[in-house]
Order: sequence, then structure tokens, then C-alpha cells
Amino acid sequence: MRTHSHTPRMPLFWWLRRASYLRYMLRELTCVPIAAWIVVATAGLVDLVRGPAAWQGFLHGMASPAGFTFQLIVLIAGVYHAVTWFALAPRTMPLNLGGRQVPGSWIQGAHYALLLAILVAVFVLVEI
Amino acid sequence: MRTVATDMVIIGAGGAGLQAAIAAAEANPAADIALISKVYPMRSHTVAAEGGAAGVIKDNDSLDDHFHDTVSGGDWLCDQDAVDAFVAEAPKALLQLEHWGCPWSRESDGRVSVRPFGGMKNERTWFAADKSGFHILHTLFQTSLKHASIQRFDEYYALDLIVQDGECRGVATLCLATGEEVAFLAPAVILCTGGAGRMFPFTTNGAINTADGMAMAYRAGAPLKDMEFVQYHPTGLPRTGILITEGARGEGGILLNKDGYRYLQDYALGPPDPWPRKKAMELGPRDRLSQAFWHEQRKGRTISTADGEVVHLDLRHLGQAKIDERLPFVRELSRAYAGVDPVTEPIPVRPVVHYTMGGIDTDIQSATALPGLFAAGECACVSINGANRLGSNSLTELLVFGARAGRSAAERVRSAGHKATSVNTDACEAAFGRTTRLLGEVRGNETIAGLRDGLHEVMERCAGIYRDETLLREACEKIGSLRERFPALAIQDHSRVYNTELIYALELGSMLEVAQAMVHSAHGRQESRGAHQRLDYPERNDERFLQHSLATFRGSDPPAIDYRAVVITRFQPGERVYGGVPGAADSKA
Amino acid sequence: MTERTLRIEIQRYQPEDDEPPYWQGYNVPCEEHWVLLDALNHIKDHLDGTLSYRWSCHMAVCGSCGMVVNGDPMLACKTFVRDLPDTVRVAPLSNLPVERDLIVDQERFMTSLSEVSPWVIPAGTPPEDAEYRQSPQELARFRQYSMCINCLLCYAACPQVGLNPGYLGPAALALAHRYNLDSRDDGRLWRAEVTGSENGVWECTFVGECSEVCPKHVDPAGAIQQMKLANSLDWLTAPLRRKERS
Repeated sequence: MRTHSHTPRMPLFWWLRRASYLRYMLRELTCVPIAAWIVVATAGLVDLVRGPAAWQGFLHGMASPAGFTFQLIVLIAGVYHAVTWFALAPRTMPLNLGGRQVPGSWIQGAHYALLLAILVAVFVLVEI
Repeated sequence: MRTVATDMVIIGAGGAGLQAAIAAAEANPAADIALISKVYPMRSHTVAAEGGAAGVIKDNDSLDDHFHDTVSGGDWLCDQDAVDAFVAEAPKALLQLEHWGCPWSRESDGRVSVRPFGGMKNERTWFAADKSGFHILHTLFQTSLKHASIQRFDEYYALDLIVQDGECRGVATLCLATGEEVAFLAPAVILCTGGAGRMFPFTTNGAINTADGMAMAYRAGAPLKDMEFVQYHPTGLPRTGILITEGARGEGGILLNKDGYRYLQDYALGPPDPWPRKKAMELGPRDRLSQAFWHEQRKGRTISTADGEVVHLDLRHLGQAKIDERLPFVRELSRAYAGVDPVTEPIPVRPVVHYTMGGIDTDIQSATALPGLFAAGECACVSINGANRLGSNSLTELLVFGARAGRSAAERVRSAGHKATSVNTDACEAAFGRTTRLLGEVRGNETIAGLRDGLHEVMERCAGIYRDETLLREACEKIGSLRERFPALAIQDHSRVYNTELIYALELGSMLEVAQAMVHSAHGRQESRGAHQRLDYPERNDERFLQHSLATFRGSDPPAIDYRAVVITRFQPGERVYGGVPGAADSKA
Repeated sequence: MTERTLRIEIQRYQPEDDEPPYWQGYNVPCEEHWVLLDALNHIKDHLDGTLSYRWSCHMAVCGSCGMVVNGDPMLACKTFVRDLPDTVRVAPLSNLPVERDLIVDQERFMTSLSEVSPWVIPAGTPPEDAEYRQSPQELARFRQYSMCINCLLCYAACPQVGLNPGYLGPAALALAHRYNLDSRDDGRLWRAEVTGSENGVWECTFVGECSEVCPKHVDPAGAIQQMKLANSLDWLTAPLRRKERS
């Protein structure tokens, strides 16, 4: 039963109002390049199955200036996504071991360690 | 004007009001309860209390000890039947809060922890770090949400009680959001509206503590009891008056004058060591500590700062770990508002008005002299606090007497039988007439700030820690004259929606009426007892004044002051003895 | 005593005038130690009695005086004039309907609060004549989330509150989490029906601004993400619980 209150409208570009909102939107937008990468990688898998000629065509496309730029954008998006995600992880999953709180930096560090382990494993697999 | 017919109205949604509502809802689940507050419940001033709530739980403690500490702390002006009931119900009330989720601080074995507090022989103050009032209020508020029978009317300002045929029948209010006049009709009304600290310029109290409920009851014919007793908390921050809890001294903090000397030992509170020690030095009762400051100031031994005279509260020896664990809010307040980190520097403090021992006269079931009207909490005077309240008794008082008020009101609702359907509109018109006048074409030249400053000036100077005949006479005259000037008050805001200037004006009116009761009661009491100290009558006079003062409203004339004997059951008045060494007798009969 | 004149521009709104909100400026001589609330009180007392705003404790514990100062949600009683530039724009809390001047409609929050059942829902009956045993470590688990003063700065900071009118919001959800973590409480699954609903934790996209502005460091954003995790695990283990019941 409120009378005549003024309800503010969210402006379309609300996310330009604060630096933190802009950083948030960029973080969210990283899903676009990453989704695109999944589509491209899937296409590459299909080409791999099709045969050496198709596969070479895919690799050739990836090596082109457009392909290189695309992969660079995906890399930057992926790294930004991972860094922001790892930074927030300790607040999502606070850990209690033996009655003491595990420091946030350990949880964050564990994420990086896992990432490194995966990279190393992939590298080893690829090189073998 | 809109009318709301209900079973019970509770005015004030702080600790006492919420507890009353919950107790009433549990006693009589069929009753409709209207809980009215001029602010949202979480803003009630209970939220600012820090130190804790007293209740006997330790094996080395007893109800008898709590009783004796309270009665002697109150300089024998406490009604002993009320104190007996209070100390007996205290532990249960605090336990119930714990069951409702209150995050009391704990021992390592999981039991509730208790800390020492001023004027108490044993540790019995339950605490939630140093935000006890905050946690108590939020626990009560959140628990109250369980009860569908409690209907809240947030931001409704209560103007006047509706009295008909000598009974309280409801309350006339203003809805702040719309400016609409709303009359609540009910056979039972409970006032839980808090204290009157805002009539003084330096106070720990929030903006909302403006004696509204006391004034309403007073105008309706219920007398105000023991109004002359105003507590100065010894440790408030200078200028802002922000409270630094007694808990800081309970944890071992000490008070030093400009020579770095623990001056309290000069005022029958020593010896200074061993420390900490209960009922000695900085753990003496609040009235004695505030009076000691006054004397130190006269002797020129306080520290002069840009914000006035102060003494130092030194917590450095406690160490950062203990301060962060037990007194984190104190550290935060000190750094923000005094620019001082108590870990490395002492905190500048001075006495500030904190609590009104006096209030609406009630019996031990929280009933007032007006049938149908009940009161609990700081706005009421049962009296369990007498002439001086011990720290941490007040939060418990909210629970014990809030619950009693709720149950008493529920009982009245049961016997009253039915809701009121109509009321004499004349009674409402008088109440609403005050707001109409203020909003209307009154051409006056008085301002809220002008009258308020006048009130502050006279209360601070003439009704402070030490009083005398000349000052009190001047106070009576000046406040009488301020009341005469009040009808010429003009406000700039004539709107209806959230007109806070109108509310400030009405609050000022309440404070002027209650201040008049306060200074006339003080003038009448020709003795020194507890927080009421007179330079011209420095001794306690049990022969004449082992009595409660009762102020009765006489319209634009000063109040009539009468007296009533204190209920003494088993603890005869003696000397208040503090300090000494552990194990010494605590009073000489 | 050093004085400094601040130009304070305040967003005014009087619903009875049927005009949209407008800015009104005041030149306020401020003392060095003042907070913004002191300046507002000066305006009210000496310059313009028609300015309406909420306040009470003046010590950042009652939560009344939240407002937006130069774009940032803050408590007026804890915003020191010495930290402000010479011109200050003061507006009511964002994302909530404005009733008058700096006063916003808080009913949305009051309703959200009730919906998350913010009270102890015990497993059985409480111990008779004794407290629940709760260790200091158990208390530490939820204490942070119990510190919310309901000031609604987080509602002003959260874009989802502005974009989604049904969203319960940071403070209400953080309070649910406080009870979920309390060792005396057994109501987590009960509350999850509301907190895990479409207006609950899943409306949050972890912008994180609520935690940035919170004056009591409650970290409602962290609380909400933890509830998302718990909610997801509940969903995964639901078949086991159904098996238990039958």
C-alpha cells in the first residue's frame, strides 16, 4: 500500500556505471569465445575423423592470421576466466581441517596446481 | 481516519516489545497482536547494547548474590519482590534466547561463557562478543517472524493512548509512509518504547530515544516513577557519545587520569591490585565511576582535548588477540570515531547519559495504574534498578518483564472477551489535533533546533551528575518556559508522506513533558542516592526518602510529585561497599 | 576547529508534488570530524527542514542510514567528511522504490527475510534447562554471517536486484546461510526449497559487488556460492534421501 513511490528503471548500460560491473561483464563475456572454441574444436575433431586431407585443412585454417587471432582471443578469455574463477573459489568452498580454516590462498593455489598438472599431462601425452 | 480492531497492541519493537509479542503469541495463540513501531524493528536501540545480559548460571554464583548485588547497586531503591522475581527468571529467559539461536560466546567445552561486570560479585553476564544487544535483537526479531499472529505495523508513530471510561482502549497513530491517521483499538496495550536519553546533548542513545511512550502514559494519567535517576555510563567517546562497553573493563581495562594514575582508588573503590577484581576499581558501579570523573575534573586532573575533558581507558595490556576476540566492535568504534587503536593507544572517554532508571510506574506483572495499559523495558520502572542500574541487568530486564507484560496482556485479552468495535472519537481527535496544528497554519517563530538546544543546555548544566537547589530550580523554570514556547513551534514541512520534521517536533514535545517530570522529581528529592547526587544534600536519607517519587501530569502546570514506600523484604538498607579485597563483606547492615 | 564548506547535492522526491525526482544543492559548513550524517542533520536543523532521511544509532549498527554517495552505497554515519571531495551527490539506495527523498521502500527485503525462515529449526527438542553445547569453532563457522545489520547497501549494489524484482537478494540469502551453518539448526533442506528456487541463489551470477560494499564484511556473495554448492550436492544426493525415507 505504498503511494506514489518512484521506481527506478535499470538503464540498458547499467554495467558501464561501475568499473567492477564492467569487469564482471567481461568475465561473463569470456564464455562467448570459449563456446566458439568448443564449436571449432568439435569441427576439428570431425575433420580428424574424416581423414588426413580434412585434418590438414583444419590445421591450415588454424594457422592462418584469422585462425591465429581467434585462438589468441580464446586464450586471453580462457586465462581471464580461469584467473577470476580461481580467485573466487575460496569463498565458494571454505574448508575446515582439524578445526582450523584452510587459508584461501591454499585453495586458490591448489586450483593452479591442478591446472598445471593437467597442462603437464597433456604436454607429455602429446609429445609421446 | 482508519480503524484497526485487534486483541493486543504493542508499541515498540525492540527487545522488550518483541519478547512481549512472542510471549503473548505463545500464551494465547488465538490472539491477534499488532506490533507497532516508529522504526523497523532492527533499528530499535536494543541493537546498540554491547556488554551483555546478566543471569546466574555458574556453580559459584547464586540467585541470592544476584539479588544482593542488584539491590545494593540500586542503593536500596529497588523493589525487592521485583528483584527476586527478576533474578529467578533471568537464567531461563537467557537460555530460551540461546535455544532460539542467539550466538552467545562459549567456553571451550561448549557451555555459554559469562564475564564479570560492574558491581557484580560473580561473573554472570552472558555475552555475544561485544555486540550482545545486536544479537539479542536480531534473534528476537527473526524468531518473531515464526508467529503468524504477530502482525507488524512498521513506521507507525504512536501519538496518544485512547482512554475511555478510565481504561486504556487503544492508541492513535500516524502511518509515516502515507501520513494517514490510524486508530488501533484493543483491550490491552503494552508500551515498550525505550528511554529518554535524547533530552541530553551527550548520550549513547540513538535518535529514536525520545521518551514518547513515557509521555503518552504520563499524559493519559499513569504516573512516572523515579524520573530523577539518570545513568551516566562512565565510558562514552567524547563528542559523539558513542558507547564503549563496560565489558572492556570486565576484560581488564583500566581508567587513568592525566597523570597516568588509576584515580578510582581515591574514591573508595580501591586498592588497585590485584586486578581484575570484582566490584572493585573499574568494576565498581556506574554511578560511582561517573561521579569520580566529575571530581577529577574539578581537581583539574582530567585530560583536555579538542572534544572536551576526558580520561583514558587503557586496553593495551590485554593484547591484540584478546581485543580482537572479545572486544572487536570496541576496536572498530574507537578507530573510526576517535581515531585511536586501543591495541596501541588508550581510548579517550567521558561519562555520557546512557539509561533512564525511571519510567512508567508498573507492578511486578508489568501492569500500570491505567487498566489495560502495560509497560516493559527502559520506558517502565518496576523497579528493579532503583537509583542506579548495574550493567547487563537491563538486557535481561527486557526479556523477563517483556515476557511478563506479554503474558499479562494475553490474560487481559482472555478476560476482556471481545475486540472493541468502536471508540469515542473525541479521544482520537485530541491526539490527531496535535499533528493537524503542527501541519497547519500555525504562525510561530520557534524552531525545533532552537527549543531542542535550549532543553539540552539546561539538562546538561542543571540536571547532570551533580545537582543542587539553585540549578534544579533554574531547570524547573527553564523547562516550564520551554513548554510554554512549544505551541509557537513552526515547521517547514507540511507534507504527509514521511514528514520526519513533524515527527521530530512531536518527539520534542514528549521530551519537554518528561524532562519537566524529571527535574521536578529531582528537585523534590533532597538527598543523594545512587545516580541522583546533590551537593546541598550529600547524604542518603532513608528516613524521608526510602521512597519512590511519582510524577503525575497536570497539563501545562508542573507535575504533582508524590511518594510511595519501596518494597523491602529481606535486605535492609546498608552501606554500599565496593573495593576492598576478595572475600570482604559486601555490605554493612 | 577547522571548517570546510561542502557542496552537497541531494536527490529529492516528494510524491505529493507528482514531479519526478530532482537534485537540490546545499552549501554546508562542515567540521573536521563530521560524518555525512552530521552534515545532513545540519541541513535539516538549519537549512531545510523538509529533507527526509532515516537514521538512529550514529554508530553503524542499526542499519538505518544507507544511501548512495557519489555513486557508492554507504552508511551516512560512517562516511567521514574528510574522505569526501568538495562536491558530493547523495541519492537514495539504488534498485529499490523511492518513497520520499532519501527514504526507500524496504518491504521487498522484509518479505524476503520472512521467506527464508530465519530462525532455528532444531532436529528435536532443545536440551531441558540447559544450553545446546556449541564449541567456539562451531560458533566461528556462522558468526560472520550473523553480523548483517540489514542496511541494504548490498541490495543497492547488486544489479540482479535491479534486474529481477523477485530475487530474494544478498542479505536475506546470507541470513539463510547463517542458520544453515549453525550447529543447533537442522533446517537446511527446508530452507533450500526457497533458497534453491528460481528467486533464490540461482539468480545470483556472482557479480560480487554486495560483498564489496558490505560495512560489516559479511560476504553475502560467498554465502550464496556456498549455498549453490550445497544445493547442487543436495540435488545429486536426492535419490539417496528418497531411498532413506522409503
